[in-house]
Amino acid sequence: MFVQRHKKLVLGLLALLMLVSLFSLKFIKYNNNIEAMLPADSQVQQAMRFLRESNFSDKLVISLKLNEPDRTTEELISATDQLANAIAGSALVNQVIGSISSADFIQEMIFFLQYSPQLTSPESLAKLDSQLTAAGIKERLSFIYRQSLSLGSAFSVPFLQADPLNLSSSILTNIQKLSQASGYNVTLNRGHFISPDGRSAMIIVKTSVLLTEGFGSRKIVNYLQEKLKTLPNYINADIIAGHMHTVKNEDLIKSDIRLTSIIAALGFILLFLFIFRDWRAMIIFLMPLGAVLITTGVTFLVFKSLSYFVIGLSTVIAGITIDYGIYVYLAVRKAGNHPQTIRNIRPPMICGALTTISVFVVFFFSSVKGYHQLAFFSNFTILLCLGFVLFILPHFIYQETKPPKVKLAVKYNFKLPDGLNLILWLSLIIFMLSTTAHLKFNNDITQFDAAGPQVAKSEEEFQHTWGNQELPAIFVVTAPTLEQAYEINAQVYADALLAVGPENFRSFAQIWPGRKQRQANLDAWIKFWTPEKKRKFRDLLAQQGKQFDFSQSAFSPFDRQLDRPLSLDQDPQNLAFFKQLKDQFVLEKKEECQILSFFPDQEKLITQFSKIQLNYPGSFLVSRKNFSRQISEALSGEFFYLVILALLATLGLMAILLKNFRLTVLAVIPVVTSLAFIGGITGLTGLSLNIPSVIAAMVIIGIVSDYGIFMVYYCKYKYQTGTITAVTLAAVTTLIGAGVLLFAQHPVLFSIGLTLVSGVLSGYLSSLLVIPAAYRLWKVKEDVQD
Amino acid sequence: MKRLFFLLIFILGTQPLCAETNPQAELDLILTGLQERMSLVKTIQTDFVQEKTLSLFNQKVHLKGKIFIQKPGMLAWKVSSPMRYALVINGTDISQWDQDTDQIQSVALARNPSFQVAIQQMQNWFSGSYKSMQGEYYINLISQQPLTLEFIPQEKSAARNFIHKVTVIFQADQEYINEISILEKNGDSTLLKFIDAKLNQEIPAKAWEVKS
Repeated sequence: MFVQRHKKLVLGLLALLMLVSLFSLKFIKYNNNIEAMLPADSQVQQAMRFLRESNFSDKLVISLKLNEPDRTTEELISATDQLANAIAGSALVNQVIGSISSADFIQEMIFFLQYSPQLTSPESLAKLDSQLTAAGIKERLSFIYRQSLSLGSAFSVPFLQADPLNLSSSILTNIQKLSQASGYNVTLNRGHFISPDGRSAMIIVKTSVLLTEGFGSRKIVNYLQEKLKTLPNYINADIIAGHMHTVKNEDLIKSDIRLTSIIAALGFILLFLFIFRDWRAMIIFLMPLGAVLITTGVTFLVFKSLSYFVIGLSTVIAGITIDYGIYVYLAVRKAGNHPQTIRNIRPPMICGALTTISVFVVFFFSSVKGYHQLAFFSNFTILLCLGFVLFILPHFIYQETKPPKVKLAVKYNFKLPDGLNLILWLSLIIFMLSTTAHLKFNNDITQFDAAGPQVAKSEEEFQHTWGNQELPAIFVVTAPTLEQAYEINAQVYADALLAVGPENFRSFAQIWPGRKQRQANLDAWIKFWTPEKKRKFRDLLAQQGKQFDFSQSAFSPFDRQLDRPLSLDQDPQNLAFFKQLKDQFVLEKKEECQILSFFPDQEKLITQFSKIQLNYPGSFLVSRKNFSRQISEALSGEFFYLVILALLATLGLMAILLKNFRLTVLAVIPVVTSLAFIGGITGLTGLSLNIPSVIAAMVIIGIVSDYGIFMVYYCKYKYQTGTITAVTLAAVTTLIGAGVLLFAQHPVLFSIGLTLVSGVLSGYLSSLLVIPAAYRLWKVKEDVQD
Repeated sequence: MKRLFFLLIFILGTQPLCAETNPQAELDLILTGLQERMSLVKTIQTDFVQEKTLSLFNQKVHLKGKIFIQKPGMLAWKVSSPMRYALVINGTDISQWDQDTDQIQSVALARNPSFQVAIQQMQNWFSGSYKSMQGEYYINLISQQPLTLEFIPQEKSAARNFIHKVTVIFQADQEYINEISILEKNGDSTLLKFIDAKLNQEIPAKAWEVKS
């Protein structure tokens, strides 16, 4: 009554609300963080948190390549230096690593050799013992003599003086192995990261922007792309980083949303202008649009940010909610806006809306936070729209008095006997179900990455240039303090050596074990270098050195170390190479420390390390293959539970609201048909099911159950409220909303579109063709009485 | 007369100023000339004698041998006295041989960054591409006749931790280097003299065999 009396006020308030919502879109923060779409399984979340917080997520790599054959590596290095200098001057950039000084490395290694007593294992000492003979010492001195007279001896002699017994050999080998642990084939040329063919150079940019930050990612990528324009023409450059994926995915989703919204809007407008031919019908279109606009603002207020995936689904939600307006509009146009008309249409509409809502409510039981937002968004839109169409819409439309120019009615005149109709339907269902036997479930989250061919090409070229190897898996050790983490890491390394051998595991323990281990090494060193042994060694040096004319102080740096080995107190300081390696392997956080080890991402090794991991609480594995498996395990259980819950909720609500077993069973026909067709068509097209398609299938349960409910109501009560036309138009509008997703380039939206179209179309056809036939065949007592 | 006197003083007074040229411009001119001349040199083969004063040894060490250079990237350093030793760089790989062990050791240059620095430094000195070294060294012109250049590593240079200065003295005709003197940070020094340098003559294939 209020609406009837204050139509203008209500319209004005609604228009104001929609305008405010439209304006607020400008201030809404969107995110395309995949993390929100992953299950809350502890291992999956742990891996994701690790990837987010690790130092991989704040790095961008620039790969430069000479594109003219006569250009030299020197020119490449010069351009690399200029670019590195140009990049460095920005608040977005924390550090630019374009080169390291090899000479510093030599100097640092000489310093690092002071740690030899802590780092030389008792086994190495035993080997050394066998070299402390006249022949062994002579051989080493002969080598040092030759090297000291060789080219560039100025660089090598200080090193040989500090390590005449070549104790550093294994340490140097380990450092070299660790520096290649990332799996890339980098060589150093004048301290620059150069590819083995000398045609490409690499610059690493550390930024304050995490790759999950859409806005920041765009800023840093744009900044770097501007700087790349200053490179000479003979150099091509690519940015390789997760940030590129963030930017490109965001661009694609935005463009998809724009495109699908325009197509959907045009479709709806054309539908109403050419089919309804009544300006008031535009209200049906505006209501879901207004509901979506208002819900967008409310959802942002509740969740503080909006997922692009949820926004991408808004056209689908609009397609669902527009159905309610159609039902009311057609009923009022046909039977007038009397209270009785609304009363007749209200039960199936509320029943349908509740079943759809119940499906979305199920998503609140998911451990995936992104689904909570989807559930909230969908249900809020549905409830809002339902309120609009039940309480506001009837006051703005009237019964049609003139005969319509275009007869707005859908008739179907299939002459097939009901029995044959049902047999055909059953055959189709069986056929579709049979094709689902080989249906695959694809959990690889990279399938939803739509960074585009340019990014893929750059990455492929990068892999080709810098070593076409698979990225390694990571064993992460966690402990409250760095020292504890070192200890655990050393134990893990020892276990790994026994399990998989030294070639398959790159651990920081190889060059810096825990304090206990270093103490044990130091004790062994002190025990080994007894005064007698020192005297023997010095005598041998003096004797054998005579023939080469070595001076008495030739090896004084090493000699000093024999008497005064360094303390164990702290990590080596001011050594750039050690810091770089430590940055790569050690993550020091406020509350804990993590140490990373790398190994080939192979199923067999993952299985072996999974066993080792069990012995070290807090440790975990991060691997692309393992990650997919973890998600698969976490989701398969959860989705089975959710689908069952959605089905039960729908069936339960139907049974409660319809209060009739036969009607309930018949109303389920579109649900069964849709699910069978979704599985069948996905299988027939050679595609595989994935998480979004399963979500879409659950939404389908809610949508097509509405058709079933309306049709069974129609079959039972024969109200002349234009039910068949309404269901048809409802299906058409939903198909427009869902069908436009087939134009989307983003794989997630496309996958959802395909599922929705096949589900809605089959559900609609079955509700129209099968339900009436089944209703007629399933005779009950009351029908006979009727 | 007074005017003439001032004019004379002015002319005489400014004479040195006119004669004096910008030292940096002069150095650039010399380096450019050297670079241009050396860019025409594709091969170098020369005998050498080397005198090393190292804290490692009690006495100075004298070496004799041959150097072969073929641009780009080929270098052979063959010592005949006091021991037989050879080092051959063949583009990307480095091979060493010595008479004592009679074994050849080969390694990819790229895999050995410290060795790479040392070898690159020596290749730069031998090939005469000094203009490109201005980014790494402060270069001073010590004398014009014979042409003598002094190189002091800059702070960012890879050599700064080891080299104090390098002095290069050219032949009278400036065709090639006569001697290179390297003074290291620790006081060690090396004097390398080139004898009978032959430029742009075909280098026998045997020269690139590490064991020969």
